[in-house]
Amino acid sequence: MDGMLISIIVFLVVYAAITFELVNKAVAAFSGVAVLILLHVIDEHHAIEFIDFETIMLLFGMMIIVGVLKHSGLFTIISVRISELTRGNPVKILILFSVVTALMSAFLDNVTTVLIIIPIIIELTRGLGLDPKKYVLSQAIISNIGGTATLIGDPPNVIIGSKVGLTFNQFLFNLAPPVIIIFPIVLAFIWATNRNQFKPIHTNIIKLFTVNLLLEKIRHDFLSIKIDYSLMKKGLFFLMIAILLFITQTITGLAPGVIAISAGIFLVLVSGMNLEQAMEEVEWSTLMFFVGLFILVGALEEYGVIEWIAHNVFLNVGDNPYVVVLVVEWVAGIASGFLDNIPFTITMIPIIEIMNDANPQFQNLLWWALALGACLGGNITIIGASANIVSIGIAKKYGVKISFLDFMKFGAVISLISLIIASLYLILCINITM
Amino acid sequence: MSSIEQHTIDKLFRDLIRVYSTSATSMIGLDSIQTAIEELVCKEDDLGGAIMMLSDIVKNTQPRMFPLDNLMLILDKEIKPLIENKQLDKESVYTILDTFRSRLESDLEALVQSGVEWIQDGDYIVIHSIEENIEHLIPEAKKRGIDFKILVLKQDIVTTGKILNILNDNKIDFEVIPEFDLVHYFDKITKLFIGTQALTNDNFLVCDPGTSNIVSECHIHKIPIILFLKTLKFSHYPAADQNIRKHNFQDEYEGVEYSFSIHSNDIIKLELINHIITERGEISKNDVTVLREQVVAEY
Repeated sequence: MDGMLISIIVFLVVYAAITFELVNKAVAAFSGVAVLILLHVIDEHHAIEFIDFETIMLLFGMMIIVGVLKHSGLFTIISVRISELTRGNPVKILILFSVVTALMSAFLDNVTTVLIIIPIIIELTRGLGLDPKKYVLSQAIISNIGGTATLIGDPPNVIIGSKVGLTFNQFLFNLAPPVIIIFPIVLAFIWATNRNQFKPIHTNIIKLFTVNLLLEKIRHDFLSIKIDYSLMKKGLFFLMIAILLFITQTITGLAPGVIAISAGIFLVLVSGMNLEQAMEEVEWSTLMFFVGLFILVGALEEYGVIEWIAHNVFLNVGDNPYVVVLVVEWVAGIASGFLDNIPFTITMIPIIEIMNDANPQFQNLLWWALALGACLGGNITIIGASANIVSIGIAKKYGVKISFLDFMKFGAVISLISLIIASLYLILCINITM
Repeated sequence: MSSIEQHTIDKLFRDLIRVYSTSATSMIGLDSIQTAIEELVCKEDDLGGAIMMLSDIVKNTQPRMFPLDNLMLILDKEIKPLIENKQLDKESVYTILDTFRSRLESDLEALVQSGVEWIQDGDYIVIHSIEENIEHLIPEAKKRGIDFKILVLKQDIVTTGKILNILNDNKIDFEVIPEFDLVHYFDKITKLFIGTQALTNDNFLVCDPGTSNIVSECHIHKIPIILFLKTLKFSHYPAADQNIRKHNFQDEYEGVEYSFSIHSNDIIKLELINHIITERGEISKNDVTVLREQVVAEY
């Protein structure tokens, strides 16, 4: 059997294992790598060259910063304060939590965000006699929408930014505008289609009383952890420094990966945090997953599979810029809905590079189309994005069962709305730039 | 009012009582009532009905929440004439709630002052659940320089964790053992301190789960049992009508399915208690009936 066929089969098997969660993602990806090396499809030295260390460094650095902030209790304080601000008003719960989720997802990490937000929103809504399902779903979906806005917000953006060399500001200026439009429209849609869930409570003394008892319980339950204000200040300081350096990247010439890993390691140094403790905050399996996927896709590239897909699928759609850009966005959107958007993005990067070489007039439009599609399409199903899987897992732990279909009924419509808005935005960009 | 709303409030109170004393929980209840009234948007004529509805829900919790239950009875009595005379407004309710808060605080202060006398140098005192004696009285004794030690009987981790925090914060010497291990300590311990959620009109104490066993054991071993009780916890209901909740669910162990039941509270005969300490000082068991009549007359 030749190398090309083996690399395709291994890739498809790994993809299926990841999509249907047959084994741990990192184990699946690394098993695939092991098979390729053992069968001499690629050698180990070559495999290392396929790894995009820029992406790994960026993820590693941000994981340390986010982990330290989480450890300090910052996210818990924010969640409890937001709960207090809502005063139990269902519309305020939806809006305020969504704003926090979107911002935290844009500048931190959406999996950490939902890990903190989902338990507290379940406590709050269940305590008010509301169905927590819609609130859980809305936060998972909003985390993916918020994460779309920045280079560090969602794994597909991290991969695109690092591999292609796009800056933080380029992401912010090109992807934040559609996100700012999508965000309120999606919230309005959630409100309009679930109005019975968002009835005001200011005329119901029993509900108002319940809210106050509930807030006391939430304060006790969630704030009983040790809050380390000194660590929090240091963590926030280094997060600000990292964001500042991301923004001034064109002046400093520092790559996002370098910035993130430096900020992370200096934070450990200054905070006096035990290194082992800091390393515990790093999601090693996610990093291993990325490493494995880079190698698997690298093998496909090596054997010309990627080039074949680019020429026979994407470059066959013609040279009409509207068609090309929208095909990339919608294929990315739909594929990311049913496959994990991380391997999909890694696979698509070399394809887009070939398409850009063939059509230089697109400038960066195809990257934005890919990012918008991969991030927003991740909302179609549970398996579309890590934040969805994590949210549904936490909800289950708290006794809120959300099925694949429950998610899809909600997420697919919202993805459709988001992708249509993104399409209109991309059309506008084509009109302006080309 | 729906049964879901009642169940939600019952559950919240049960959760709060695990980590706060009945006094602290009642204070949270009063603050919650005031905030609810402040935030309520309704016609002036509907305010009385809304407050009565809230009062009913608080009086019907499982289990009944004292002293809050009695305070609601007083609230009902005080706002009825205001409703009839169309004089009820939010401010008048806040004034009543303020007097309740002041009363809770002054009763607690008086209970601590009379109770602290019961801790002496060399005491080794058994405690079990979160009550006023742990939140206030024991720290007060420590502040006064009394040299004593506490034996904590481990309950669920939330409650025991809270007790440990209080003892640790106040630098009080303590040891933790499982409840069933108490038998090995009867030659060392000097007193058992308990609190209660209510004293029923047929002279039973409503206490945290597990308290009955401990009291019985201490009674058999002639360890003095000291009850700290605010008179606002005198209930005019019998033990059978304290809304003690039986939680029943199906569980499974290694393939064997069984029905598991647990009650929200224990019931203990007052006669097993050696000393009853109230905010008015120590009272005898014979005084209880007279005192109850005085207190209940307020409602």
